[in-house]
Amino acid sequence: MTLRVFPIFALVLLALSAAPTTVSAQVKGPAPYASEMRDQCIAEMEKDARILAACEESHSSKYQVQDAARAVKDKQFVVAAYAAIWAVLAIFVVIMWLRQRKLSVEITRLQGELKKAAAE
Amino acid sequence: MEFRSREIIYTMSFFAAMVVLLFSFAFLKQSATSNEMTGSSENSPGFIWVAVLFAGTLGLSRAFDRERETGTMRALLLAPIPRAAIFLGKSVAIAIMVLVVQAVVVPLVALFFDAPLFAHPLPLLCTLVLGTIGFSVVGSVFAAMLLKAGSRDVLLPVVLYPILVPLFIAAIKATAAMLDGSLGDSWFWIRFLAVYDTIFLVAALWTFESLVIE
Amino acid sequence: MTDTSSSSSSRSAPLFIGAAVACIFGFGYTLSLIFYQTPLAAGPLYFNQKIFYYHVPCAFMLFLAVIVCGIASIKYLRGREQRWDDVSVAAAEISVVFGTIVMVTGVLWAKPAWGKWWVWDARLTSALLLWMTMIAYQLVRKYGGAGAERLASGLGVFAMVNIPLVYSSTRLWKTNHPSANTVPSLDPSMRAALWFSVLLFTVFFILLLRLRINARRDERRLYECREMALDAGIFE
Repeated sequence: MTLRVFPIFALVLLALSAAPTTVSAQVKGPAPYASEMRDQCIAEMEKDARILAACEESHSSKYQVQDAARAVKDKQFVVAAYAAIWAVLAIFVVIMWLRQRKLSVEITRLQGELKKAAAE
Repeated sequence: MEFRSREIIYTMSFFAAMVVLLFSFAFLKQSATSNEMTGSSENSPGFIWVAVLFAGTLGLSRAFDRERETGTMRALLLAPIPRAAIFLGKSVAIAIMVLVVQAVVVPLVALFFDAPLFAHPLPLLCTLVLGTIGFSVVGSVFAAMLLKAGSRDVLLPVVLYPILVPLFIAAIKATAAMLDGSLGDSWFWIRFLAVYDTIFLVAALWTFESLVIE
Repeated sequence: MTDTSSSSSSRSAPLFIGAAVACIFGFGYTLSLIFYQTPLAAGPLYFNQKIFYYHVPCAFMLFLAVIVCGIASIKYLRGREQRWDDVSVAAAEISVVFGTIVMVTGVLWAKPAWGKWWVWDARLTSALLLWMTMIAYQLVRKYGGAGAERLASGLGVFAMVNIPLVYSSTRLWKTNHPSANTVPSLDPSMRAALWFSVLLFTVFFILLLRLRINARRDERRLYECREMALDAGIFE
């Protein structure tokens, strides 16, 4: 019997959980935020000179100069990184090229000598 | 042959004990309150597994040295035994040696560093056994390959340790989780160890034949 | 006797030259893409994010090279054909080169991004381990004595199999749960530059691989020539 009751039970639960969403869909969008406490807070903050000073300072150029200086300093890393990439790749290609050249020279030399020896 | 393996086990265990002792001298601090040197059990999983790793590597190279000297490897290869059996036989021998070393190291570390390692014996046992299996399987493959190499004593760790890193991490995390009491984590890392062992056992069985064939 | 006049690399010289020229132009184009056409990143990185456009393709190439080395090692162990050994050696060398690039650029990226030179991040740690394993491969080939090719091949296979294990273990090393993604999802305007870089580095990798394989073949040919010369009694 429970096997048949359970699906019905589940459907009823589903319907009940759908109800609030259908109800709330009829309500309009959220009202604009207004609260007395917020206005009171703003008024109090404007009275406090320290908070005003902190606000001013955060908008001043001091931190922006700091950030800019650090960004400029960090740019060196990018230059260094790309330089390192080129250097490593270039060194590898040059090493391979030199090795290849040496190999080719050796091979032609030896094959020449072998030809000579075979001709004798 | 049995006599030589006893020699290897004794020397391995002593070496491992010395390593643990060195770790004590390195990491025990004078406690603030009393005038004694005490150790924290925090790093003890690391000590166990580093000591086991070092001693195990020594044992590996010694065990296969013996094969090389007496030429038994060639005899075994010529005999009509499946290669896998040779490999598994060597691995089991090394596993037993490493388990003996662990039986020495773990109580020592628990003693010196005041670590409640024996609080959960089943996870501890699983970690030790699975770690040993992984170590001996991978170690046997590489040690067998290095039979004829020149600088094989130093090449074995060079080749072995990078491959063993996941095993090492998993074993340490499992042991540390046991010390913390979070057994769920511990069992997770033990399962990781089992996966590692399976993967490398399969890889080793695949490659062993082609690696040791002359 | 083998053909005397040309070494193997000059056989398809136009293809190589074409690929090399394409790579050079590609590198130039990536520079223009990276520095002129991608936006500046946010956060502490700003300009330094540009390293990323070369770092990521190099990391991909590291993994690709290790996988090529592993597969070539398996083929070599199966059939003992020299050409697969050549491929495996070449791929391993190239993986060390790209690994070095990944490590260096990664460190230089990390300092401005996270404030530290090294972080035990999953990617960094597993890349470091893979790089060290490939360096071990080179050491084994040089100093391994007689059976070095087999040993190195075995190492190559095991390294390739190890990649997912190393990555998952180092990712879960810090906590049991996957850590938050350290690389934020990519701005779409940056994707073009990144994928072009990946394409460029893949072509470059294939070029390097081919050149190195040819160099290996020449090395073996030189060895054969030397043997023949010794047999013929020519004193070197």
